[in-house]
Amino acid sequence: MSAPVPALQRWRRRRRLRALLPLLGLLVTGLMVPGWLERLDVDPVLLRSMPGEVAQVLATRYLPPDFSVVATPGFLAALAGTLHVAVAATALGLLLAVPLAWAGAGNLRPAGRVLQWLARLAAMVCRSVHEMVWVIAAVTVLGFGLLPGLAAMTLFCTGFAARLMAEALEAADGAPLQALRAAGASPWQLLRFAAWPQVRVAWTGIALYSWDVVFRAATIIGFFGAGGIGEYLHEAVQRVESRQVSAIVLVVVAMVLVGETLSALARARVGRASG
Amino acid sequence: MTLAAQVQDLLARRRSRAWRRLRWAAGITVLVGWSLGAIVLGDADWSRVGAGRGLRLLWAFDPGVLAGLAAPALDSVLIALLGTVLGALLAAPVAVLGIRRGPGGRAGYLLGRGLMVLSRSVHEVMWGLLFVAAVGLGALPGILALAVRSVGFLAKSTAEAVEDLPPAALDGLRAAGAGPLQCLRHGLLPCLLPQWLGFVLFELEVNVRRATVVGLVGAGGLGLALQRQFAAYNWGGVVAVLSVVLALVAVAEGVSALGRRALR
Repeated sequence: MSAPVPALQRWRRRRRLRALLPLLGLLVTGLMVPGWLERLDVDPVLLRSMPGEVAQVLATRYLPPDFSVVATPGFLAALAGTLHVAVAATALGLLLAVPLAWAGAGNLRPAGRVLQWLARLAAMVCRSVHEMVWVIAAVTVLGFGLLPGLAAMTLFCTGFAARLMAEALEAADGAPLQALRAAGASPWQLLRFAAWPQVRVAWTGIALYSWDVVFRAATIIGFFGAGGIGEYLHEAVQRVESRQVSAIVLVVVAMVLVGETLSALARARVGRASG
Repeated sequence: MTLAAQVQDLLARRRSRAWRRLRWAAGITVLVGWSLGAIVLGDADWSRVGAGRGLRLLWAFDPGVLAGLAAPALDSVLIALLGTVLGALLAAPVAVLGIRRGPGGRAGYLLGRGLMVLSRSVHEVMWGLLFVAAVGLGALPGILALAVRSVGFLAKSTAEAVEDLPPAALDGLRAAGAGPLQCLRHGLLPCLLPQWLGFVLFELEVNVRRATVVGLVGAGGLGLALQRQFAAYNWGGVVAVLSVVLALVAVAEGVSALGRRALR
């Protein structure tokens, strides 16, 4: 190459600048951290001694876990309640999420542009509020118990399942859609025969993943009055029964792990059956 | 095989598949029906359900609370930022360990994956509780809870991004005689850095949402303000705090989306 073209030079400079931008962001963040820590009254020196302190507190106050509370019939009933909420909320949430995803997917748009945006907005509102805020709101309206838990977890599940399902729909190959549309297929036929065969596996995965996430959240909604094993956690925390707290936490972690393993196995099976 | 036998076989297979589907559908229906029944018939006490009363309470709005919410809102944002930074730092070694056939070996891989699962399978509220118990009330337990909770997603997606890197670039560099540092600088970072920043920005958005609730268990920020309004039975104040939470999350989502678009 002889004399460099000015446009090429400019492009190179801009590209170098673009590559520097992330590094600049990281640098600025690093420089701001001390100021943020000060504003929050966190002593950075404390951060250094803290791992040891946390370990000591855990070792002396939280260990060994006291499993006596876990073995009571009340706790087992609460565990059943948590499972009920997770199952029912996932099912209802998915039922609500499918039409929202269908209406909100940009490539299908069975109900027009206005409904598309309404569906997206509904899913976004469900999603943007933290699930525990939904729990608190539901407890305020519906009183204590599993029912507000069901309501809150349903909204939570709807929010993110609708988004993931819509994304799966939008990622589907457009050619079958076009072919069926050209042949005069109705919106329902478009979903059933062009989109569904493509998203079946992804949607099954999303459904199983939703169960994971909802179950994890359902284990603690009782902390805010919505039933299940979270209630026991709340009680143990309130009475500063730290060993019971650690026992309950361990049970929750074990349950979540079992749930995740099961859903991972199921997902692998769905993937194989289709592949 | 004769044609008739083939048709027979096909029909039989189709029937057995239909049966299997039906069994699955029936099983799931029974399970969901049982759960719904247990909640709605077995547990719900309809006399306590005051939809009208509750909605009227939620309709209240106490604008007097708003002025005092700027400081906790800023605290929440800072807790989210610091939690994300610390989480990213903690996630780096876990990600390196969790790379399949990576530098950690088989044992390191299992350890890394185990840490990721542990981080994700405990809810942020529970991490908050644990850290409040360990280091006391304040912003610090919130930061720690978010950091530990972020490790799972950040480490997992980073490790998977490394696994999915096209090997051609690295092979080329190695063939040209590049050392390990040069491989890292020219082969890994250019591909990885934008992706990784995208993950961090996404996690930051999620952490803003989380930072608004860890305060409920004593870890500062808007959650603490919410807790106070609850303790005072000031429903209008609760609604005011919730609206600030919504606004904050919407802003965080917008910023994170903009940042991720700029990276692409």
